[in-house]
Amino acid sequence: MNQLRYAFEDIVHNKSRSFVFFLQITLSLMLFSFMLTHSFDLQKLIKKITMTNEYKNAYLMFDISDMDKFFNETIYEDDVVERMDNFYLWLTENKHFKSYAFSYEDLILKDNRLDDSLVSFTYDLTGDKCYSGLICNEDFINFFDFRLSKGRLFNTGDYSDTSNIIPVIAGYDYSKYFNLGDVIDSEYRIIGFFEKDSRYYDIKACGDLLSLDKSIVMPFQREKALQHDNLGLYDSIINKTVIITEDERVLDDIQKKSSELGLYTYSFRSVEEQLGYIKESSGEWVLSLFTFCMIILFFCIIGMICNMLQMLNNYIRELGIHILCGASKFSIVIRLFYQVFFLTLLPNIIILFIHGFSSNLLISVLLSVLLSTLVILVPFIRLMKTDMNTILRRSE
Amino acid sequence: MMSIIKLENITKIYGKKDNEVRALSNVSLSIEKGEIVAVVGPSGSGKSTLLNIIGCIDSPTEGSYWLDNSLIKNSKQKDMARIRNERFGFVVQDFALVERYTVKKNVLIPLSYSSKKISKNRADELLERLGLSEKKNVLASDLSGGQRQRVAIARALINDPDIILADEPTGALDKNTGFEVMKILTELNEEGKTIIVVTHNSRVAEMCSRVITIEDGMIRNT
Ligand SMILES: Nc1ncnc2c1ncn2[C@@H]1O[C@H](COP(=O)(O)OP(=O)(O)OP(=O)(O)O)[C@@H](O)[C@H]1O
Ligand SMILES: [Mg+2]
Repeated sequence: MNQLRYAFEDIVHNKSRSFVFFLQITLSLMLFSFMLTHSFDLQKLIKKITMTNEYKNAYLMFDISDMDKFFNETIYEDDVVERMDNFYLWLTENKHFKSYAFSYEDLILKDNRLDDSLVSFTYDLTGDKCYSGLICNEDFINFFDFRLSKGRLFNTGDYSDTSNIIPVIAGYDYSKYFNLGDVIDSEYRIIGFFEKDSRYYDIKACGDLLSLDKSIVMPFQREKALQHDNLGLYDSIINKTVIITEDERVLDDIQKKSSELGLYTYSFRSVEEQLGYIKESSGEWVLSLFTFCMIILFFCIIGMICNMLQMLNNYIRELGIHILCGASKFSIVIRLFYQVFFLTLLPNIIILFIHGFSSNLLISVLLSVLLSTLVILVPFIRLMKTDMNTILRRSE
Repeated sequence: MMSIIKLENITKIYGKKDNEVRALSNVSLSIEKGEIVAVVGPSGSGKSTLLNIIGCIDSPTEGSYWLDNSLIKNSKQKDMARIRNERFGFVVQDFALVERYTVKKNVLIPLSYSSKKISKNRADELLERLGLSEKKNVLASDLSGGQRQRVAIARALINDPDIILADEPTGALDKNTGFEVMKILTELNEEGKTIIVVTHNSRVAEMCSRVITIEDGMIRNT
C-alpha cells in the first residue's frame, strides 16, 4: 500500500512526464484497437494476396465467337447440350491442367422465414424478391478451401443427385433464420452453413474477394442439367471456368477441343493480366495503414521505455535513499510498476465512463496489462542488474 | 561480552575479472554491543565498503558475517532489506534526504518498509529532541546542513534500531555543526546504541572509544 501511495506521489510530482506517458499509452492503445478491429481487412488482404499467388498460372476464357451464329444456329443444333456436356467434362476432368467452374443463378424464393436483409434485389415489375444463388463444381469448393460453421460440404452424391430437392450450403447470414435440414421454398435443403465472411474470387467480374454471406450455394448437378437440356447453365458454367496450368500449350488444346465440338472461339487472358490494374487500386492501403500503425506503435513503446528509463535515472538518488531506509529493489520495482499500471489503466477508465462495459474494454484492459509489462521490463532488468552499492554511490 | 557484529576474513571484490577492485581483503573484526567505533583511513581504502557490508547494503565476496550470532548469508534481497530497515540506522555525508519531502515525511520513510509497530508520533518526539519541532513541515530542501543531518539522524532512529552506521556524518558540515552532530551520536551511544562512524577527522575519531584504521582494504593493527 505504501508503494501505491509513493507511486501516486511520483505521478503527481512528475506531471509532465506522466502526461507524456499517458498520451503515449493512450495512442498505443488506440492504435492497437484500431488494428484489432481492422485486422479483419488485413486478413482479407492477406488472403487476397495469397490467392493472387495461387492464381499466378490461372487463365480466364473469353468467348469471342460470332454471337449471331451462336444464337441463331448453334443453339438450335440437336446435340448441342451433349457437346457442351462433353466439353465441360473434358475441361473439368482433364489430367493436364486444373480448373474450377461456377455460375450464378438468381433465385426467386417465397418463404416467410426469409429476411429482407438477405434479398439481393427485387424485380420492379412483379415485386418478386431475388436471392443470390451460386452453382459450382467440386473444384470450386476445394480451390477456395471453404470452412463451414455448421453442417457438411457437398459429397459426390449431391453432385449427381437428380431429385427435385437440391442440397445447398447457405451463407452465414442464413444461419440466423434457418436450421440445418430446413428446406427453403420446398426446393433447397440446407446441408450446411458457411463460416462468416467466406469469400471467393470472380475475377472476370471484379478484383475484390466476394462474400458468400448472403448466397445460397448449389452443386452443379451435371446429369440433371443434361436431362433438362439446360443449355444456359452449361453455357455460363463453361465460360466461367478458370484454367490453372503452367503450360500455356494447354490453351491451344482447349481451343482445338472447342472447335472440334463446334462450340466457342476463345481468347485467353491470364488472371495476372486481368488483376493487374485492379490490384493497385484496392486493398493495398490497408497494408500501408498497418505498417504505418506498427511504426507509430513501435516508436510509442520505445518512447515509453525511454520515458521510464529516464525517470529511473532522475529518481535513482531518491530510490537509493529508500533502499537505504530498508526498501528492497523489488519494492522499488513494484512502485514503478504501479505508476505504469495506473497510467495505462487511466485510458481504460475513461473508455469505461464513455462507453460502459464492453468486450472491447476487456481487450483494451488486456492490452494495457501487456503493454505495461512490456514497458516495465527494460527498467526492471536495468534496476536488477545494478548493484545497490552503485545505486547508493550514484546518490552520493 | 557478546559481539553484536563479527566479521571473519571478509573480502570484497568489485568488478569482473580484468578490472577487478579489491576493496576489502581478509578483514576480521568484532564490535561489542554499546561500543562507539571510528573507522579511519585514506580515501578509497574501503571504509564505505566495510560499512555497506555491515549494513547489509552489500554482500561480501568471501568470508562470514555474524550479526547477533546469526550468520548473514548473501541471502535474499528481501531479508537483507528487512535487516537494513529494522536493525540499522544510516547517516551519510550528503544526508540522503528526499528534498521534495517535508522533514517529517523524510523521517517517516523507514516506517513504510517496516513491520515494527511504531507510532508516527515517534517522529514528532525525535524531531523535538533534535530541536527540529518547528521545522517538521518544512521541505528538506529549505534546511541548513546541520539541520539536515539532524533530520537524517531522526530518520535513522525512527525504527529504534540498535546500530547506527554513520559514513562521514560530519564531512559536509562546518566544525561546530559537525561537533554538534557528533555530540548527538555520543549521547545516543550512552543510551545504549552501538555506533560505527567512518571519518577523516581525527577530532571526531577521538570522541570514539575505539579506532579502526583501514589501509588498502586491510585493517592495520594498532
Ligand atoms: N561498485 C563499485 N564498483 C567498482 N569499484 C568500487 C565500487 N565501490 C567501491 N569501489 C572501489 O573500492 C574501493 C574502496 O571504496 P570505498 O568507497 O569503500 O572507499 P572509502 O574508503 O569509503 O573512500 P572515501 O574515503 O573516498 O569514501 C575504491 O577503490 C573504490 O573505487
Ligand atoms: Mg566512503
